[in-house]
Amino acid sequence: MLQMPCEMAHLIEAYLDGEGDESERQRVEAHLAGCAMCAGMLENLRQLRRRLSAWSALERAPAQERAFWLQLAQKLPLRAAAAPRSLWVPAALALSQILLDAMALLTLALSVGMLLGGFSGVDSWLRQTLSFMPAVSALDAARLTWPGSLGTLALGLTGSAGAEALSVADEVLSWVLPVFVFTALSGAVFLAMTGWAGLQWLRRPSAR
Amino acid sequence: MGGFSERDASESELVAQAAAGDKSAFGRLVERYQRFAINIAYRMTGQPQLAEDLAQEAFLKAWLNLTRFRGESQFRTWLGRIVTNVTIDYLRRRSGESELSDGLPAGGMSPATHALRNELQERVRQAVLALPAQSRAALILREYEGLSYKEIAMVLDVPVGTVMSRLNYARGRLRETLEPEWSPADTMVEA
Repeated sequence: MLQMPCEMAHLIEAYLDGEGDESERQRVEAHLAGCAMCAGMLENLRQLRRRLSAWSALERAPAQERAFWLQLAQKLPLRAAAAPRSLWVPAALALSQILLDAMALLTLALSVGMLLGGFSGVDSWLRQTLSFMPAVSALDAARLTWPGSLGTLALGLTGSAGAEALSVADEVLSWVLPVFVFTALSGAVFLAMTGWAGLQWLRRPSAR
Repeated sequence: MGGFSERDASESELVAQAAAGDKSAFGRLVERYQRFAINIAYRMTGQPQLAEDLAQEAFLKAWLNLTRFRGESQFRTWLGRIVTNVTIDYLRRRSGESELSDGLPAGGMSPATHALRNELQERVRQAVLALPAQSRAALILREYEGLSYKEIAMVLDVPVGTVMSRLNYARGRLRETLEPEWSPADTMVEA
């Protein structure tokens, strides 16, 4: 016939394991003095603990312990402190985001300005502003000289229609290319920064 | 002899130095805790050589993840968690094979060690290895490594109540296996 388990039985294992505060332990001790079932259970658990201790730990010689470290040390990759890196990555990402937004706004403003105010005003402003770029000043110089040579040739070959086409091409060239150069340069900077940040992210220490 | 706080202080220094890339500081942590790590893996698998390999893998993971260790637990508890995870992952990968075969003496044990093993030790070893991995881990951390319920809960990433029920289950099973003359159902509360 099975006996009903004592209501304090669930506390016996915690008592054996040294868990619980002092008042709880005193309560269990007082109970153990009067409950043969719980006292018997505690004795059984103690006996189990003694039996389990028969499985001894691995004993390793000092030479084995040194060999363990030497083997491990060869496998450890070099690693610098990662704390500063974790600050740079979000900073680079934020900066490249700001740059991209500024670039988009500028391109939009230039396009709207040209559509509303005509090419020539924006054209001269652009050429002035972007003249520090070697590509733009070279382009500008070429643009100023070619109507003299190419323009005469086109006029001779095709008449007034050719000259008109050339003048449209000239106007387009005067703003499309600088904007293109500016956009391409900003884009390259943006790609470099996000690429670098992405690389740092990939090289972070892996999770479990 | 250094007191507890002195030991803890030097340990947090070692952890910080190792996190900054100092291999010799990490070497001192390995020296201090390799016995702990290897014995968890040994009692989970029953194989000494396999335990060395799993402990190597665990320390390598610890090195790679040290920068994330924020010191909210002790290094020992954190390492115990890595070793236990590495070992349970290994056992899971090998779950197609018989788990008991992990514990048979033939696997990676020298004849001399085997000859020295007495009958009770062998019975205990096989009984522990026959437990389900999660209960086995709780029992090993409590009975052989002396961790508190709270520490075991952190290592296994489960609530303290789960630790208690796993220990209760593991001990019930072990008493059935190791003391066949005694029936645990008579007095134990079911987990």
